[in-house]
Amino acid sequence: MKPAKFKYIRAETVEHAVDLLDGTDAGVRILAGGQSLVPALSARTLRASMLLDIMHCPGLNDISQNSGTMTIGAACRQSRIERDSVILQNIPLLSEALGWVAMPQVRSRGTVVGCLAQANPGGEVPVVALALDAEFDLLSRGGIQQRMPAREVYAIEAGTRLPSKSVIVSASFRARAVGEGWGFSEVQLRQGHFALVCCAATMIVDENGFIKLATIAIGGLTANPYRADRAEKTLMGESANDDLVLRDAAQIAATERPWPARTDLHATSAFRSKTAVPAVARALRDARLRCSRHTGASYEHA
Amino acid sequence: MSTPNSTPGIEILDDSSESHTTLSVTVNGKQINASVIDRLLLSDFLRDHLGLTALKVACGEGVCGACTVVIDGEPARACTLLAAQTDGAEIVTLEGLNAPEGLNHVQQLFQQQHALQCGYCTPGWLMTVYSMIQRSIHPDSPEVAHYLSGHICRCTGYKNIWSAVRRALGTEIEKSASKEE
Repeated sequence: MKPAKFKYIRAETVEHAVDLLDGTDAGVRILAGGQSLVPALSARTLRASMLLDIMHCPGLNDISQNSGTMTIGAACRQSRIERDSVILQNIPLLSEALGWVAMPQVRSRGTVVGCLAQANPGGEVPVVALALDAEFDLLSRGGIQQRMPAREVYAIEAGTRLPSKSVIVSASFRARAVGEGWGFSEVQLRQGHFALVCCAATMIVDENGFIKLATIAIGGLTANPYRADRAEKTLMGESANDDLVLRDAAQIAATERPWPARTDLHATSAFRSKTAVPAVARALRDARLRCSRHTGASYEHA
Repeated sequence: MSTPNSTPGIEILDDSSESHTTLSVTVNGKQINASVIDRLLLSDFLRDHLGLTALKVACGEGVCGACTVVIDGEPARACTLLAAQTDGAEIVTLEGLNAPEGLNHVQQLFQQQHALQCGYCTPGWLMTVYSMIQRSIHPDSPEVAHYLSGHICRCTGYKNIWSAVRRALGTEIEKSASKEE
């Protein structure tokens, strides 16, 4: 065995987990699928005094459909969400992005919400959460519930603004609107590796082929993902058919990053900045292609 | 504690001063109840405590696939899980798939196609192929590449592994087609 000593507790309920989390001990960590946490403990890049396994808590395995949103519980594994037909119908962007998360042998154990909490710079799920205006439901001691938008959670250069000593119970994603197209693109070193850059985009086009709504979220380029608000605005009212319009928006999207581009062992900031432009353009083109004919417009691949 | 392995040279760390968790799992159809050290990895539990040494530990961080087993019907890494996390799970290791004598069908195909050299990574591949067959994945599906991307072979036998896997999946499709007729 490789991890340093810790105490493992199988939380019976989320409230039980929150109570234990709220002690004075700073080394308590929540354990969901553990596909990043356990290797980090094995490599001893992270230490924990206590692991709180929330996978057996009742209610956390639920997927529910509310008006215009889909809620995914904290214990839902990626492989299940990836293949779920209701998810595929309502948040196809998430289903597609999950296909880029590690490998099937890891997705069988990892959770969707775990990705959101971990906020790995090369992670795909936080990018989808931003694109789909996801909101996180948190529980803190004393039964205090709180709802936090993904935009606020990732509004710092690295890490999250999630309050300490709280547990994410579920995350709610905006469901696909009628006729809304989606696209997810990623550049990675090899299949199963983290994203060097990735982009999640959606688009709604009116009956005359003009863009009514566009959302763009970019990951990997900066430590935390961001929404490309300026690029989204420039697309409003433009002709969806015009590849140059999409290309210009992609350029703006990659440039308007709120934090410096990232350099690591795998790619320089210059490489990431340059690669982000075609990646965004590709996601936008895919989104355009999937805008449904309900809108009266139809597009073919150029 | 489950019956310790009698293999000489394997030292089982079972320090009573460490915190333990009770665990109840089904491994290859057998119910196992054990009390395990909290930080014990599933790979070490299966190998050192249950003597199921077909799975191998190489990278220890979930990347290489040598420790792949099937948990609740899906392939998973045994090295990125704590044994304690798998309470209530149904685990299949390669020992659970072995033919009573000789090689099972997929193992035979691996041999015929020369899909292994040193064999260290092979048990992991075989578990993934088993799950792919369970899920009736078509040999021409893009999912084949996704699944196989979860394994590393350093003897670089990918081409032969690929053809053995495709044959294995193809035979299954034929089998189910002839059943339907």
